[in-house]
Amino acid sequence: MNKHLNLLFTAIGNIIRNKVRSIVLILCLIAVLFPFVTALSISEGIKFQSLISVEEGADIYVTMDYFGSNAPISLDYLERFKKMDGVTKVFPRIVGRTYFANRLATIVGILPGNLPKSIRLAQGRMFSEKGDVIVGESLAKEFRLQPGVRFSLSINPSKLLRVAGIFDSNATIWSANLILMSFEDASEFFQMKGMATDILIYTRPGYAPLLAKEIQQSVDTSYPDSSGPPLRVQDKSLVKRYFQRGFNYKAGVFTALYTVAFALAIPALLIVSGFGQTERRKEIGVIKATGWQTQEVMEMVTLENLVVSLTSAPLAILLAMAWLKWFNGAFIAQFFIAEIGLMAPFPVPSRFLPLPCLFAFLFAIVLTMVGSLYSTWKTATVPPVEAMR
Amino acid sequence: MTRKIRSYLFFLIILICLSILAMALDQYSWKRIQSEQMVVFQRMVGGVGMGAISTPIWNFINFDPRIQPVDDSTLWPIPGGYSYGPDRTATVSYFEEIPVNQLILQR
Repeated sequence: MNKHLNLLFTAIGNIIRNKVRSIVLILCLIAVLFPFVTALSISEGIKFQSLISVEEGADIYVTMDYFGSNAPISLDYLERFKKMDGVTKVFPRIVGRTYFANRLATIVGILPGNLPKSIRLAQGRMFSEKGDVIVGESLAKEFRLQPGVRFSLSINPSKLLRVAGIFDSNATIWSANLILMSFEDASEFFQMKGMATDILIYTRPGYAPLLAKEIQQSVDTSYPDSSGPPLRVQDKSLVKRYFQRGFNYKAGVFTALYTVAFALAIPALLIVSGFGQTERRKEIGVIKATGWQTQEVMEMVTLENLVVSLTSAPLAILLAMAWLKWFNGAFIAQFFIAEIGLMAPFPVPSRFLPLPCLFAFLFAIVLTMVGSLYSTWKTATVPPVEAMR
Repeated sequence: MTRKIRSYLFFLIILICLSILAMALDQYSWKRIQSEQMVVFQRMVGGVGMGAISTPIWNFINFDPRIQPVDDSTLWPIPGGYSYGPDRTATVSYFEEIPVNQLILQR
């Protein structure tokens, strides 16, 4: 045990003695690990928000199927769905898009009965009168909107809207550019009276798959207007599959791409670690001449790599955390969240889980090992005189 | 063990402990503080937003596949070709339409 501890102390001594080499190596590792840790933490942050969206969403979403795409559904279906066994709540919703000046905004229309009492707004209050809207904090900041400001949009200039409140930026990234209004106002705004984007059905536990099947099969055939286009039914299990594939697949692609980037970084690090190669050769020659075995030299270099990796990985994690939490991921978040620009207009979600951080450490150790073990072994197996030359 | 080695070891232990503590605090803030607002918001709107984009700029599928699971950006400008939507290429999420078997064989 003492022998291994002594080798560890010698390894740390080497790191301190070769300051420039060690600093360059640690900086290179931080440069490689920083984007990796940043991307995975942003991915985990969005995944967390997305999971809440799935879990707290409806059990079944029903729309029309027009030529293979989702399309608006008539409100006539509401009563029919309400009468179905196992249904606890049914409500229509409108989700659309429009430009607010030059900024794309998502319009959501919900029934006023859905408004919770506990929601926290950054400013103002929830809508209570006709034409009242709640706007996202990003939109409010960009266009200096305050509660009480009246506006209309070119899609329907006759529809006058008034800012009643502003969402708290901690809600989700999707509320940043959102305009929430009552279902009636949204119908008037898009001039689609009697239609909803989708009908949301909440069911008793375990009823959703059966009801989804029943709606798909029976409503299509028995409804008086069955000559029209069919319904498209999406239940929670399907939405969960979207979620799982949407994040795991892309995260998989990202990790695969990053592994390639790592593979390319290895020769670069070989060059960098060759920065102190002459010194390293001499060192190995000297310690071999004083009676060290090749195995001991290899162990010392392994411990050196371990210490360098243990220094680089936590530094990369702390740097990524500081950059994302204090500087809101300036300049870098745009690579992982589409269309947000250099400075994200909302708090960039980032979640630092232990596993990606462990991966960062493992990547660091693999990189340093690949970059140094072979060259060390090659030097350690030649006669000391030749190594010191 | 020299003083410098001791100092480096101490620095290393502090660094590792600091990282673990920072991660633990981050976990705590997500579980306790942030999720409450998200839950209330998502309950209110019935679930809006799933992907790593704040507005449906190119198409709805990467914003929320529940609203439109069809990626119509592959239909243009080269039908069936590469999607030019930036939200389809560079973000940390990627949603695809899940194939549904609609084939009914008549015997």
